[in-house]
Amino acid sequence: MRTKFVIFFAALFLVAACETVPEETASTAGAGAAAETTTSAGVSGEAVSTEPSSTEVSTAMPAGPTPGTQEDLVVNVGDRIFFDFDKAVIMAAAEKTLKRQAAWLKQYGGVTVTVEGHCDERGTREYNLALGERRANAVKNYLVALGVDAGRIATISYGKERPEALGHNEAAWSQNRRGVTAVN
Amino acid sequence: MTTPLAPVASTRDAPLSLSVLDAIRRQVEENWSLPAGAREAHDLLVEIHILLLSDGTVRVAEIVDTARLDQPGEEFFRSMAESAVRAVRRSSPFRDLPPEKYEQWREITFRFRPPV
Amino acid sequence: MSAYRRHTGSFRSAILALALLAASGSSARAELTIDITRGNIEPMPIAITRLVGEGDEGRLGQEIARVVSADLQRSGLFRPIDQRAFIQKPEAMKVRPRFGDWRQINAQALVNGLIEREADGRVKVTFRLWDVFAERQLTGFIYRSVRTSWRRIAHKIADDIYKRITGELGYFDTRIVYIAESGPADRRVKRLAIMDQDGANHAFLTNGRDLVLTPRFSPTAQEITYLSYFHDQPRVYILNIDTGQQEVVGDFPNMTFAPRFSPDGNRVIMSLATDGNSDLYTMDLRTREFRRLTENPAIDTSPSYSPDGGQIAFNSDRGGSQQIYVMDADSKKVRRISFGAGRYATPVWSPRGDLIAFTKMHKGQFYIGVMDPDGKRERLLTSGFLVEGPTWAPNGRVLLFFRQSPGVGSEEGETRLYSIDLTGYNERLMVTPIDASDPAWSPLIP
Repeated sequence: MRTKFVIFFAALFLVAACETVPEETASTAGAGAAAETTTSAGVSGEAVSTEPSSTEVSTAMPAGPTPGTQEDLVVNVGDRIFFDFDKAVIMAAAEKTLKRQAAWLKQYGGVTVTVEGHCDERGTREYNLALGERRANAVKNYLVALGVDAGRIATISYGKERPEALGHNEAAWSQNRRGVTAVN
Repeated sequence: MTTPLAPVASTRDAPLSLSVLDAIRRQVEENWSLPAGAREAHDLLVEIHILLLSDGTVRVAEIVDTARLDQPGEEFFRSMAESAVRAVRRSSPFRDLPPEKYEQWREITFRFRPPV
Repeated sequence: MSAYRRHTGSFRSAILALALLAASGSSARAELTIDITRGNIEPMPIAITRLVGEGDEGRLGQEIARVVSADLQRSGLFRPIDQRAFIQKPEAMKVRPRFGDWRQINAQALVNGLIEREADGRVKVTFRLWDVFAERQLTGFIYRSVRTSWRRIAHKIADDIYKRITGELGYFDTRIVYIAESGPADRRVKRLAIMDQDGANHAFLTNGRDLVLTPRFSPTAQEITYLSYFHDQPRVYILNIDTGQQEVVGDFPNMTFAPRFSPDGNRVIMSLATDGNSDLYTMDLRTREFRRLTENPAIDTSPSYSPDGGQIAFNSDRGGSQQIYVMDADSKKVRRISFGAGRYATPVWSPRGDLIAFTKMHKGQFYIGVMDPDGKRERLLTSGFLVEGPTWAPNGRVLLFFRQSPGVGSEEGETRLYSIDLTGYNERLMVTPIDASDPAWSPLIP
């Protein structure tokens, strides 16, 4: 599982590296980046149909990830959403991603996932463990409300223990306040 | 009030000047190493009674409240009292004392209180 | 506890002093009274001589003196005098020190002693502490132990000296458990580690395969409770230091975290997350009875018992932001105690019961501070980009915490342990082999 994480983290880093993300909108841009990739690969399904399509890119990238895998989720759906500081409220930008995730989970009914809740480093360790748990559950509850079986979604909090971006500024922190859906 | 002082000449009779008192105080304060915890023990008071020889040497330095010294729970009072005695002894001999007023300074009570 | 006693005691003394004053006024001893209300906070100069012994014992006697000196020096309250300045030879003090020799080098206190080998191979250490100005012995003890425990003898001697001179309990015969950190921040390897209070006898207790966090000692210092991500399931564990045996505390479907032992050692208090909501619970370690303490949609975590076990400080965002609350352990009645600007976290009750240490976050800075248990008289002791997790020395005079520096450019900063005096003085690095966080100070070793 660990190796798998490293690989898809690395993949995401590439995506992030290509984009020049303005600091103040880093979180939404992150989600957006995932959204664009989604449509570009042209996965069929009701959630994607509402997004602006760009089939021409789809033909340019014929070799997509294996459907129903973590890579598929990362590349075509978006595996993560972002939170405001000290908050566990699902923001508007995140709702789109979660709707796609719900659709994807319904499509691949055999897949179970673990939602990881993460925090930035600007809180104390134990409070952040609790906050990460709250965030993971906010994601889970949203997916369940969209009809995904609760039994398929486990949660885990990593608090501030597993940052995605390594900087010590708001640009990094906004990337680290996240809920990540990981295929088991 | 009840024990009359021996008759003295007028210069000896005049009270010690503030500068003399200040000098004595400064000497003791310079030599007092505050024990840990003194900053929080604002209401603690330690009295040290001393007898001086005419050359300013400390002959006797006693803790007034000796009964309290070995009581359990009074370890901090003891530390503070002992640090006060050390401060007085380290100040020996006291300098710049007017010899003609020896009777006035041969016996002193210092009241040590932690700084606020 | 002693603090309370001290305060009432001092109050008595003030009254007594007034009475004395009145009495002396009427008896009219020729009185010159001078108030001394200032002193210097310079560390006390102390002469610590090598313990006198033959051959190997003599060498060990020098080592013990070195450890005692280092302990006292680190406290910030003593300044051990360089042995090369000593006039009187330790061997010449078998009867009584020549105090004039020690006054001459400005020593206020003097330590000397003997070390002997007993028939059974153990060592016997006799030491005395002298007041150089009063020219009398302040204290003296004999310690016997196996030779390999010589460091503990040294720490006990340092504790005796500290206690006799300052009137406060010592804290040198103690250990520190903490999280040793290595590797990049996104794949940080964290291991439980333990060491003596002076950094000696360092050992790793876990191998780094599982993420471990927030260790705390039991009151006997024999066990450690901590959070482990064993099998990717964050749960509270108890580790027996001597046997190495580990045991999960309770059987819960969700994360348990932020564990601490109760003062009597019979319970563990911790947070349990249910459907994303963290509340406080206790687990009785003998009966396995599980008891819920808070029932609130807010985050309730980082609990800390008062030394008498009657109250629990914890942090909660039930008021909208992270603040410190105190609960009556029996009635479960809760009151908020922190009201300053910023967010407050990790309350830790002083072993003396008179203060609560905390982490505070305000305007992008982190602080370590202390406040009275009613929340009054907040004093911030230190600050930084990230300072967190204060833990008390058993005498309630010194705090240990961790400090993470952000680093410069791509260079990652360090995370290290620091100790600081209750008064905010004497902040100093506690040396660890690698990065360190989440320290917990043991009680005095029984």
